[in-house]
Amino acid sequence: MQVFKTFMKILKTRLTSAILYLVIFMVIAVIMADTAKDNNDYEDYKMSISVIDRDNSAESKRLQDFIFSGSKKVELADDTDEVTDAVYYGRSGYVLYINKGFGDKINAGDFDGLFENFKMPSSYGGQLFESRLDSYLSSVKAYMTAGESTENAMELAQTAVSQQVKAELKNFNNKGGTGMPAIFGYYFQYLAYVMLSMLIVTLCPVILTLNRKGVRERTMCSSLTSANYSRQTALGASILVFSIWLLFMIVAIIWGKTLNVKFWLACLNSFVYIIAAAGIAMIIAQFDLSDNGITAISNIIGLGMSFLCGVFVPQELLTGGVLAVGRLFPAYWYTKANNMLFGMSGGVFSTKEYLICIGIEALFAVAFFAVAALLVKQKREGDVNSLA
Amino acid sequence: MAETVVKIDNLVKRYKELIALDHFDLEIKKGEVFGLLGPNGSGKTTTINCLLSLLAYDKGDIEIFGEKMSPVNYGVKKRIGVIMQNVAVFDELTVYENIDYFCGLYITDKATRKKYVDDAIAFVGLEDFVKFHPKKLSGGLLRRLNIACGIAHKPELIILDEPTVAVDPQSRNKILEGILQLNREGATIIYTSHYMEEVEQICTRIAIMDKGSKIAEGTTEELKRMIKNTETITAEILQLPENVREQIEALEHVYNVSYADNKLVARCTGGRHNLIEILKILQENQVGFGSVYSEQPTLNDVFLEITGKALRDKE
Repeated sequence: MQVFKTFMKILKTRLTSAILYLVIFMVIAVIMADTAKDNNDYEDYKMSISVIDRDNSAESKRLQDFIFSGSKKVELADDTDEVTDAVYYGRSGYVLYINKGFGDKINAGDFDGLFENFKMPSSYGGQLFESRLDSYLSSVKAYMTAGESTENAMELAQTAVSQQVKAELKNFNNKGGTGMPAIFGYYFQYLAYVMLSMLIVTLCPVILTLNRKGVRERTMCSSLTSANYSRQTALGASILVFSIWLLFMIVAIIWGKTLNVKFWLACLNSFVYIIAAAGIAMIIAQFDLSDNGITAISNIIGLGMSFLCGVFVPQELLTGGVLAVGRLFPAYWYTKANNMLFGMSGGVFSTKEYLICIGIEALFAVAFFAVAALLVKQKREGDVNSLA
Repeated sequence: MAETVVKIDNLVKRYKELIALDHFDLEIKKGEVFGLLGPNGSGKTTTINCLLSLLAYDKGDIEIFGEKMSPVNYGVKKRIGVIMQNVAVFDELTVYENIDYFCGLYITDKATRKKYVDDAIAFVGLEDFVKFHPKKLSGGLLRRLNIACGIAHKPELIILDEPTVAVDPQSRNKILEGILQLNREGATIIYTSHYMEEVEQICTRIAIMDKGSKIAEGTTEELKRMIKNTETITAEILQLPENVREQIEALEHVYNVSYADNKLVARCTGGRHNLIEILKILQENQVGFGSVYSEQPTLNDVFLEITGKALRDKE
């Protein structure tokens, strides 16, 4: 078992990269879990505004109607200390003083020097409110220029400025009601990326080291049969693949607690996928890449496949063209099965479709290993014909 | 009569249009230190790779220990040790782990392997470096590790392909001593090199190769006897009159005289007193001279005379 033992010793020197991926993944998963807790809540935000009316005219009242149609009213007396305290302690986000003579000025078409204010410096809320007020006054001016009375102009401006954009929050979580925490869906989804990357940065360097010219020639000269050598290498690779998968499943079991049939189906999905990912890693290992080359390939393939296949962006949001390309990779079918299991991205579980996804992933695995075997054979034949 | 360990018959290897080995024959007996000598590109490494079944060949037969050599003849492979031109070890493993790994490809019994690995470490003198990683070793120590990895399983036939390339003289001597020690312990050695001094120093028999063919074979003395030159006399002379040169050329055993860069070089064939006769002519003609020395022919002279070119490029 010399080759197997050496496989493991070399692997030990490569664990740092794998641990790095693991830590990054776990941190992201924890952050996602935290944000996923209350991501169903959405409400229109209304700012707290205080208006101190020093004019008390019909026009100033109309202005207040407009202001409080989109803001929360905070009553304040015309007292500097009270105003300062209210803004400092955050009870009021913006204090607007309507100057005496506001009504007369508006009727005369003079829009200068209408207000004073008190607000927190650099307050985004304050800027937003001022922008809304400016829009309103511009509209009033425009309507008055067009011949409307002040009263009509203020009403029309209020209607125009108060038009709201309808906002909708799309939720990609748990439409199917899986009975599992929402984070589970994301956890399994991102495994498509992290498992592949971890395999590329661990398995490829080990295989490359064992196949390094000189070392490989020495092994070929020895009395160790090539079948025995392949068996020991395969054993090492299998243990690595299984360990990575098992590690993530144990974390999922400890974290998730709610383990139903769909959880186990997700485990099966990830198991078939990691075998296909191992096939990809085996293909990459047949090219004489440096450590930097392996990292670059890991990023290109890992991230590229994840973006095309809907790992990072829900499949529901991807265009037809992207999805058509995505279908050429196992991560697409993994993600599709995962969406069905966790009711994400419009996925609805169907046993038949789930089995099709698993089957296609398995076919990808077979194809990748066949290509890797072909490359190994070609490389050996190439060595035999081009040494020296 | 000693047993034949390696027999190569009519071996031909082509790389497209290039003929790397051209009907090459070789026979090596048990206990020999056999040198394959030739310039770079002469076919030495190709011969070794064919011998080890690392390289497919177009024509010919190779027998080792009386058995036809093939990539799956693991019985024969077990009796061979290989030390490649380039250091082939794992940077990730320590000195001990490296030797243990390569020994383990041949020896499965743990206790035997441990003893063999310890023996190999002692043989190459790496006892103080067993826990070192190859990157921490100097060039000479690295070469020694390379050798230990190839001989740890105590092979009967050891093939060394230019093991002293880029090695300092001190380490080179240690390596050569080690090879002779292995031979004394019973191993048959095949040693390829383009350093003629090394081959002369350790090999009992030598084959000189050029352009994929064997151009001469024998012991050092046999090879030297094959050529006309028996002695080369060199004298430093500031000015050599033409009549003096003619007198030297007229000597019975002198067949070639040249004079360049204030150096007279006279090549002789046979004759026992050539140096005295040349000095006599110089004194009679009152020609002053500096250092004068006489050299026996080297393998380079053998190669030069057979092929018309030097064995190796000037380094």
